[in-house]
Amino acid sequence: MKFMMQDCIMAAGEICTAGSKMLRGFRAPFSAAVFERCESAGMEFAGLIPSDEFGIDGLFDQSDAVDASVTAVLEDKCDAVLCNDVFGKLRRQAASNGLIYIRPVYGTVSRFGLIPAVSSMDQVGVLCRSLEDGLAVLSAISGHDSRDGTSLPQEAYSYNADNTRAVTVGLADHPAVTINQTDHIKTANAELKYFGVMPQVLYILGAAEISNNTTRYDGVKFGFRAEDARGLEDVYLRSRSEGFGQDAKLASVVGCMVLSKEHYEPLYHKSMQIRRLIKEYYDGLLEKFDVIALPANLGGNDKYAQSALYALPLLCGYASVALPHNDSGVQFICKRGNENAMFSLAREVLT
Amino acid sequence: MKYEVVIGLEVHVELATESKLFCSCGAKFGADPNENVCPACAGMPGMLPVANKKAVELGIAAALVTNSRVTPVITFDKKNYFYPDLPTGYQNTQWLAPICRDGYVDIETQAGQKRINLKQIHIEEDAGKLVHSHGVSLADYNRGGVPLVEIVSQPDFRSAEEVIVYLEKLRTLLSFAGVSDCRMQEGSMRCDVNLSVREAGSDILGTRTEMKNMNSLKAIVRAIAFETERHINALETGSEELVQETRRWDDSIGESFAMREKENATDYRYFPNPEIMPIQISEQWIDAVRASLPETAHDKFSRMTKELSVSESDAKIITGSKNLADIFDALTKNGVLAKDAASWIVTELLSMETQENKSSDDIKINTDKFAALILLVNKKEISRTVAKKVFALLYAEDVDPIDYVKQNNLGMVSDAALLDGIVASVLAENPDSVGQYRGGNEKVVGFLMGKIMGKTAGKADPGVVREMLMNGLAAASE
Repeated sequence: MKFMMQDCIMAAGEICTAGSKMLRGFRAPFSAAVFERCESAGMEFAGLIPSDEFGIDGLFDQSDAVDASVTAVLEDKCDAVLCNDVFGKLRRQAASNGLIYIRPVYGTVSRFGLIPAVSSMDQVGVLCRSLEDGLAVLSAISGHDSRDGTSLPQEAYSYNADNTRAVTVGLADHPAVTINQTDHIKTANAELKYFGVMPQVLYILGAAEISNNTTRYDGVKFGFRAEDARGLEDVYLRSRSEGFGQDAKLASVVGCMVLSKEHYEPLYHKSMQIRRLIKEYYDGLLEKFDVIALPANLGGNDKYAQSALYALPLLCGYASVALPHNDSGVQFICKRGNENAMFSLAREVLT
Repeated sequence: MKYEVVIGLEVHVELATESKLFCSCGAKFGADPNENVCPACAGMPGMLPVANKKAVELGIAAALVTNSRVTPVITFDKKNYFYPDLPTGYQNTQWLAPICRDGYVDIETQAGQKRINLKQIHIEEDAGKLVHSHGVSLADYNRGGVPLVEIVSQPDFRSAEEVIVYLEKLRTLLSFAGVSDCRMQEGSMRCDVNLSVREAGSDILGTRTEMKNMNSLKAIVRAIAFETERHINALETGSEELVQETRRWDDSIGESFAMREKENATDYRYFPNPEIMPIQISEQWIDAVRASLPETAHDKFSRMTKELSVSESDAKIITGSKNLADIFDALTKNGVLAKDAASWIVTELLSMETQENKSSDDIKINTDKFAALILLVNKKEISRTVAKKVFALLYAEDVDPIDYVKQNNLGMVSDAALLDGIVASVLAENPDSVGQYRGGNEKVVGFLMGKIMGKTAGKADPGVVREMLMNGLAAASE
């Protein structure tokens, strides 16, 4: 099996820029845990793929050009790409291009060696052509890693789509989601709350964490430094002005604002409270349903409004899988422990 | 008008862990520049912090010895600011849920006992060090990521004396508990002084200024005196407007200076670190740390004076320094009587400290050899005079006392025939002294003893010599 990785995931000796000029020429000093695990599972590494800068699917760029990772799988350069999809672009494009994107439960796959974007939501996922390949890669990369303090203690995971017990599915009330009842699948409409506020929470917390995760790129120690910068302040200002792209700058500015003394309470802290409310609600809902089903695309170019579809697994740490279904694609979401039930549902929908 | 100075302290103490707070790099002082640095503490992307359990335990120990309330679930937060001594652009610290709150330390000053209340203690990582020379700045990240605790007091101090007594008490409490070696000159104990002045009797606080990174008691005393006078002067004459600011104390000039305004306008944009999971501190864990705490200075003092018949003055000196107390324990463990160990430390070892102008915490000696030396004296194998000489060599060159005494033939001489001859010859050579003794002047005994000991190169058993001398003088007086 051949795998590739987005260039925000490190392979020792390879140039990993996380799509940013700020990390121009940065050669990874060590390998990510997921890279080591794929290699030791006997998979063949077929190279790195350019990613959006620090995984930010820019709000400035509404073109929605097909991502290089999606193209790599479509063009058969590999069987799977390890990715970090934060703002939903890869899940959306996978589902609308006949591919699958699997995002595991937060903490089951080590983030050691992943250049961080939004630490509390970053999670290496698998973009793949066949569900079986994707699950083989996911099983290989999952498991405890002492180098990641957020890594869950379970040593190994075995994922498959062979589950035969009945799966209860809570459906979004949306014409794009048409899951048929079978012996194996029990569906009902689910009351899906908080979708209106999810983009705000995602972008406020996301910007805050991006602004902080990018402070280490200051032109002092590694990566890009503006050529004729003189003196400390000049090095900081010029290097960061010239090194970061528009979206990283926007995230930094917004992030600094929401964390500032003046705005911390009404913006950052409030968002954290809403995130907890969302998690409490959906933890309850996912007691009632094994899986909930959402569209993977709403159509249109408003990425901000669309992000409501992709925010739930990030905010709550759930597993999800996006796959082709009808025109828009579908997205399944489940709690830890129900992944194989979710994958069996995915297989049924795919066949 | 009468004024009152109000001071609060933030004391930074480096924790005595083997490794750094969030990676496995060594945390010891004195390594070559950037020797103790890995991708994590160099701020490389992709590295994740893994909390050091020992650092949390030392934080719990600090809580216990300061009578603080341990927080049941602690978290770490990020404090953002750009400076090259901070490789990630943020410092990991505790902002929302520090290791403990609401403690106190009782101090004893000339005016009596006083309680200094603590707001909180939090664990954080140290920054690196910048070295500026010849127009370039070099960054050394050895210290970056070393765990420390910041002990934040309430504004309870009213004089420099209280500040100094408190710092000394903190150092004793923390060093005996194994929390830190608290060496100010190595920077493992540093202090920020927050100071304001108000009319005596007022309960409204004046404008506060902060002097950061003070690392000598003398400098702190001077800085408090200077800053107090500056504040009073400003209040009385209106010569300058007091503003809340951070000031730098320049000890060579003896003045404080306002830092640039920009450095005072920082918004640190604190927020919870999502990469470090909250840590639960159970009652059982606290109990286990409590049970593992070594003897406090206070308990050691009581034991030394009450059970081991060490004098109060010796015990006070020894329990004033963790290093001396450790040397004392090592000596007694090696079979030296407590009283002897104490007197050797206070008279001989501390005279070396005075000669070399070292602090009691810096003095180093091989305690096995030190114990062997004291035991040679006790077993009367060498004289006290010889012992002092050997001690100086042991201290300076780490000679082995047993080998040295053997090789240089310094064993105690108590051969009666040999000593008889020497005593007789000294009496014969000093007829005047013998005459004075006969006339009732007993002081000459000391003089004659010195002569005899000199002839034996200090090796004679002074008890035996004295007896022989007294017999000889008595015979001569008849």
